[in-house]
Amino acid sequence: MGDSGTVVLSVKNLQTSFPSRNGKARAVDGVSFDVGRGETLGIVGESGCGKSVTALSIIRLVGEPGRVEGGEILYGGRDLLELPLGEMRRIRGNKIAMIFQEPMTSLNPVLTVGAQISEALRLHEGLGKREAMARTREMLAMVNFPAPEKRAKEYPHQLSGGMRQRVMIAMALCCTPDVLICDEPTTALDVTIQAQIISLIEEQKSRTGAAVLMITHDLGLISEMADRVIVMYAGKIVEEGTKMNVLTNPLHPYTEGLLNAVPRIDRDSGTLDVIPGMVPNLACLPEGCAFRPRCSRASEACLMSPPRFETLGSDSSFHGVNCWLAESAS
Amino acid sequence: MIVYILKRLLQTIFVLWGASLVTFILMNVLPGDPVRLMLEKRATPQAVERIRHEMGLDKPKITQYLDFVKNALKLDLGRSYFTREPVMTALSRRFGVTLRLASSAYAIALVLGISIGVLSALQRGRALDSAVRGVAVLGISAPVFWVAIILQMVFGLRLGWFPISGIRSAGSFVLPAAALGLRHMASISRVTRTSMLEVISQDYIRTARAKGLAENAVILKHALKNALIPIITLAGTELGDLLTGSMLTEWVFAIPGIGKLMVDSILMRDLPMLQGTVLYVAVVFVLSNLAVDISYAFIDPRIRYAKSD
Repeated sequence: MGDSGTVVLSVKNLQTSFPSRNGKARAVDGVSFDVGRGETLGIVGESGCGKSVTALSIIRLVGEPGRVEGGEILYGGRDLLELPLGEMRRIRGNKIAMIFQEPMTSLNPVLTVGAQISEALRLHEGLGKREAMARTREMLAMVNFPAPEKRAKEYPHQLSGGMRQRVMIAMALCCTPDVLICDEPTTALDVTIQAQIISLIEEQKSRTGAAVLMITHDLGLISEMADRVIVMYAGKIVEEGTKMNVLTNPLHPYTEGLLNAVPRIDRDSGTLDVIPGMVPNLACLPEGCAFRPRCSRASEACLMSPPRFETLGSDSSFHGVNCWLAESAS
Repeated sequence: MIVYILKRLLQTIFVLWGASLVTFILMNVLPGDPVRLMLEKRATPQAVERIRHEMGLDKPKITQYLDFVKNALKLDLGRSYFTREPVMTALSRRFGVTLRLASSAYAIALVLGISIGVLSALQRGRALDSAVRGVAVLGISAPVFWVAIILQMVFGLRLGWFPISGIRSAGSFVLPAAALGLRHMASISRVTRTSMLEVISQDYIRTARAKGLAENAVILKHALKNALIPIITLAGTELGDLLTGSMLTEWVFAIPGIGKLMVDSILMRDLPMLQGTVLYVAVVFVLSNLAVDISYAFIDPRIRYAKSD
């Protein structure tokens, strides 16, 4: 949990699915986690394993025909899934804000940067046009924009990718949210800009004490930012624990595979390790464990039924895994 | 931006000059002697020559063209061969009528077309969407004279709500404007629907929703403005169409507008009048295209900044 131990957001048994020709694709299947104030929870996995859909489910923005079918998302003692839409809108962008993966397309091309940031301030903080614009300039200065007055009048196409992502960060943080969801915030940026964005998010997190949900497939980013890590595969959590436990002592073959696929400067191997195969079609998952067809250590047991989530360790060194291997070992 | 507008205006002058040249050439290659058409068959060759001289038709073609341009610049497009009315006077009189009809039809087309296009996109795949698409197909494919006749029969003859011909009152414009507007509304609603569907799936719309904006703000402020470019392109062409008169609608409703003037001048081989109406059509299309280009720049800053470079 976070430094203060206060749980800000609690997701319980979340189920989100999309209808498809082959039946229902369960993009998120029974995902549960808590995130505390000032804590960064990393969610990792390959593309298509349900990370982004989990994030969009939290703010109830899963695109049609997708549907959140079950579970609870508790924030401020209330289940967000039960809230009327009007109340949910008062939380979006205000108490729970999101930074999206693609800064080049996430900003409206026909509105100035200033107008896009200030509309959230006017909506949630009830500020007048002039006050909102003044706050917008402060926010732009805070995310290290030189000449914020001038930049506020510019349009997204006049800014670089890194600058646009900083605008997204300013927009997300302008109402000082309790939860900041970052959906692959650095994926579309080049490496030097990535570092700037990461330090900016860290800086703002420590300033506001927001809980951060960092969704990424970049384990390097996780090792730098996260306090706890969740590894997702085929819509389910397959491993969860403190950053140290998951990254240095992975229990699930999938996590191990992801870690082995990271290029390392201290290892002289000709080719990178890869996890064979692809993420399965979520509408027709393999029998037993969904990772079985790609797992080098699969056994008879993996075919019989899906594994149960096993927890190891205490609260401070919590480690859980969803694998028959761990179950048989324990 | 101002430089851009000035450049476009300069281009417009060249386009109009080109249009005047093409019009002049076409009028001169048309078979038939305009003087013979004007005069009775039994006119003496001396009388024919005298009229030809009076009208300047015995001068070399280049001189005739330069005279035409010189007079056109002074807004003098000659006189009708038959009524002797100055072409400019006839055009201005008919333009007033066409403008009333065109603006009513355009208001119907824009307001209804954009509204139902947006609604249809938001209700994609539902009953309302299917109904709107059905009406749009009908509106586009049904011949305008057929719609006009149906409207005359139902609302004019059976219900007696509106006059079926002439321009005696403001009510006289209701049925022709509806007949014309329905057609243009159908195409505008289709383009609006397609453009909106493309825009509402964009990432920035999700960002707007993630900010907590109400759905109407997302649609009106964030989506519609981005969807406007193709709508404006079409709306500009349709404005040109409407302002140059709908020959069929004007004929069916006996409205003395530009369209009817053009048909009459073709039927009567009234060359100065025809030349004047063709030039008027060119001017209207050139100006409506200019208006479209300028509106692009106002709506989309990417176009505005690219143009100023």
